[in-house]
Amino acid sequence: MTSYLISGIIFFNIAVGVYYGLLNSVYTLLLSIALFTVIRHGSRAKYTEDRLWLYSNETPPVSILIPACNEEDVILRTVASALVQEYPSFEVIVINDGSEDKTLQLLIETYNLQKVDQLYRDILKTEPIKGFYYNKEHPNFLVVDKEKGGKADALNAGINISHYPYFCSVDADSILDTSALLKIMVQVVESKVPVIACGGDVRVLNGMDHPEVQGNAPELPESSLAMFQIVEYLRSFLFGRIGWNALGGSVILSGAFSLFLKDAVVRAGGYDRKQVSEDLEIVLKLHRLYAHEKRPYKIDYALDAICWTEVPEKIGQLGRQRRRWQVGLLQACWKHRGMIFNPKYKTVGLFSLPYFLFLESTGAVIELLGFVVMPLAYYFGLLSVHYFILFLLLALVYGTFLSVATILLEEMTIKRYPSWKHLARLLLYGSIEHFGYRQINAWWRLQGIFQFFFMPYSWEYVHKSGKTHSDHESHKTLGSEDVKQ
Amino acid sequence: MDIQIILLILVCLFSFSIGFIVLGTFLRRWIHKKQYTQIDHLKSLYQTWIDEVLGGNTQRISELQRVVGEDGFGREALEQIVCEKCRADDKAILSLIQEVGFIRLYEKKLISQRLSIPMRARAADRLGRMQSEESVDLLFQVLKEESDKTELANSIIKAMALIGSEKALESIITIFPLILKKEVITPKNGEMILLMFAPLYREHLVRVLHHFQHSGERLSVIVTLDALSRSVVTEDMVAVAMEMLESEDAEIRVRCLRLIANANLQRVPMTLHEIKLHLHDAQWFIRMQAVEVARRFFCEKSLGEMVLLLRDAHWQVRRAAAGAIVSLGDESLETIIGVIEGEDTYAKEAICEAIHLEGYVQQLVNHLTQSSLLFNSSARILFYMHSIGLSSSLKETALSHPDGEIRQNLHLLIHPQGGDND
Repeated sequence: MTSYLISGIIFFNIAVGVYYGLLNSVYTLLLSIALFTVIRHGSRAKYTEDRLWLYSNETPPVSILIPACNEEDVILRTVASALVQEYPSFEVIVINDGSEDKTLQLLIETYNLQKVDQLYRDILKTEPIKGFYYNKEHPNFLVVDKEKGGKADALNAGINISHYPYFCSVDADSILDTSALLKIMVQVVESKVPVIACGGDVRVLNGMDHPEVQGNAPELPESSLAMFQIVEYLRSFLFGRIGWNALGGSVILSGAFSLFLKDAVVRAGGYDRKQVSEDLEIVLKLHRLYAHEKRPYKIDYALDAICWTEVPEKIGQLGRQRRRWQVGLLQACWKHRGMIFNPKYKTVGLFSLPYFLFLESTGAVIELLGFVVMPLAYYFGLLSVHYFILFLLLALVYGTFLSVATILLEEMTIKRYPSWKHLARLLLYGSIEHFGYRQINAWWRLQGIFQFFFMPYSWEYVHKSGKTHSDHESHKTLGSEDVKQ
Repeated sequence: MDIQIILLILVCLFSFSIGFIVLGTFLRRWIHKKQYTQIDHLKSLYQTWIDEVLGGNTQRISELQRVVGEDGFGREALEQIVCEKCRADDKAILSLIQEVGFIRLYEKKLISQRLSIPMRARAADRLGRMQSEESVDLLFQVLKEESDKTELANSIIKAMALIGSEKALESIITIFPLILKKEVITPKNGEMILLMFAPLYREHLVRVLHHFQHSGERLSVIVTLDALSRSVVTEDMVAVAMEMLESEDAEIRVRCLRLIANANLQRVPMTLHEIKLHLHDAQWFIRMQAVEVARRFFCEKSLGEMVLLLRDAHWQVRRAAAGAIVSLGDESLETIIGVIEGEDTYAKEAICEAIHLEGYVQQLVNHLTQSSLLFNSSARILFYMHSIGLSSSLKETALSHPDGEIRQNLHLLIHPQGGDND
């Protein structure tokens, strides 16, 4: 028995070494690519004129779809930011997914909406529609009230109703920069290969007072939990997404802000209601569809198309979100397991999916198992204390290096945190996130894995407070005033 | 080497890198802050100088020339000011830009093979922003010789579009089919660029379309048709589109029809027979676009065809045909009755939705008086609409219409059993 245990510990130690070696190699590769891309983007920005598209009839019209369930605290500011987009032609469709609060009522009152009739063609099957609300003074704004069916179902309903060839999914708690839609579309129209989906850069909204309004200085939140997430989001978007995108292996486009070619999504069967991470699953479906049809395509990422989203500031909510992400990742990977290591899907099949499944999602298990195995290894005399301390130190130093490098990338691109205080705080949180925050994250992810294997799961809306910096009334005022202008 | 030493080296290396990045980030920000302060200061200084020069004081020109000659913040500040001020009709500022040496400088940079592609692309962009018409030849020459360099070529084409002169258009057109074929620019980019010329050079673009058609440049024809159909469509454009409607290429035909449908003319040189051919085309998108043309120019005469298209397999065609029928208003009332009393559910739904979308429902409501000859027909249509759920506006009107008789009739229509208002 003891010999088995010792063999197990030795095997685990070797596995950990290989795992960290592989993971950090991928991180280094992604970071190098991101650095190169960001420098290139910065130099290109000096001579490209995206705004030419703003005044052109050639810019394709877009439907902005905002699924909302019990979002009375945030819906008005989201709609307001969507309606003031600097874009030639677009419509905003809010899909009220069976809200039990005042979401629908607030929209009706603020925008003086009237109930109208419209025939509903359920090209993608959805829960029944209860009504349409419209005001001819806001001809590009429509609210759809439907029975509750989850975010995927709401998005499918939005797709059925939308009029334009492209649609953009925006979370009900997210605020778009005024030029976000234009920037994401420029990426699509200027690409030689047809872009069927494109993700935007999602930033943390907490602590800010209408960051989408020019001239408003962004602020950082007081909450440490939100600060950790800012560093996390920067790392995920500024080197993860950029790196995978450059390698042609984008599999994750944030549900908070992504653009899709409607025809492609409809042909792929729309969003899957059974999936917890419908945004990840739809991208995999699109990869499958186009690889099967052998048509050229690209799934892209626009690093300067910015959307601000609220992150949980309560530990319970954050834990729930992270468990959901983990379940979603495993669920989508399981559903599309045929893609893994399949050369037909090129970078996605051979690298991205295996990376997310075997390196990202198992990280939590390895990390937490380490807390059990290391004392055992010490007990059996299998652990060199010097070696262990050095290994641990390297892991911490490298993790900090990645976070700090990401903050440098932010400085080189959008630079949305202008004051010295912001920079110092970001660097501080980038350095200390490995002491506690990372471990608790690993614990939630482990719970997510357990949930995936042993417990039933379904999609759930996460309630957002809407208390970023300004209060509810000011969102309401901005919403109606801006639209009137 | 001992693994512990390797780990130690790595720890030291990354620790040093962290320190370097932190220091670098702060330093970078500090340097940028100083630079921007300096540029802002210089901008306000040069703004005064430029105002003096534009006011007739030419002494400052040599000083501005010196600023342009030196590679530094001064040039950047001055460039920002002139680019902000630059307008095609402001001859004084255009001549100042020329005089202080910006054009010479950027032309030199554009042709310099020693500079990187982004730097040359930037030079092209600046020539465009500074509306340098005299640089068109040079821009074209570089474009011709280095059209394989996508980044540079795109920047040059956009610069030419910003200059917006006839010569710039001529130059672009010369090379347009080649750069489209070689995928140097995307079709969308091509359309956007042509559209920038459209307001001033419509006739020229029509000739270009003709030329592309005769030289068999399919992609260029498609892109030009797309651009033209989004501009103000003239008779000349319609004439060329008519000629091209005989094309075997469905992509070209559909664009010709779209262009014709967008024409703001009283009539087009097209017969009912010709449009009927397109209404029966094998491609659904051609049928749909033909409906738009028929609606615009042959609506009454093609009513029978439209009714047939209400049974089309594609909902987009059905929707367009229903819209065309309803747009005739009371003239098509009997046709509408015929459809809703027929058996095709899709056709019935399409026509009811069109009544709603076209706003014809209000007119039908106004016929609900005993004195109206159209009372019965209107009531039958509204009753059917109510039965398929398109009735919320009827309910509102039943409560708020100023005419008591109409309110009463609507109430009876919605509640035939005599129930209360909801």
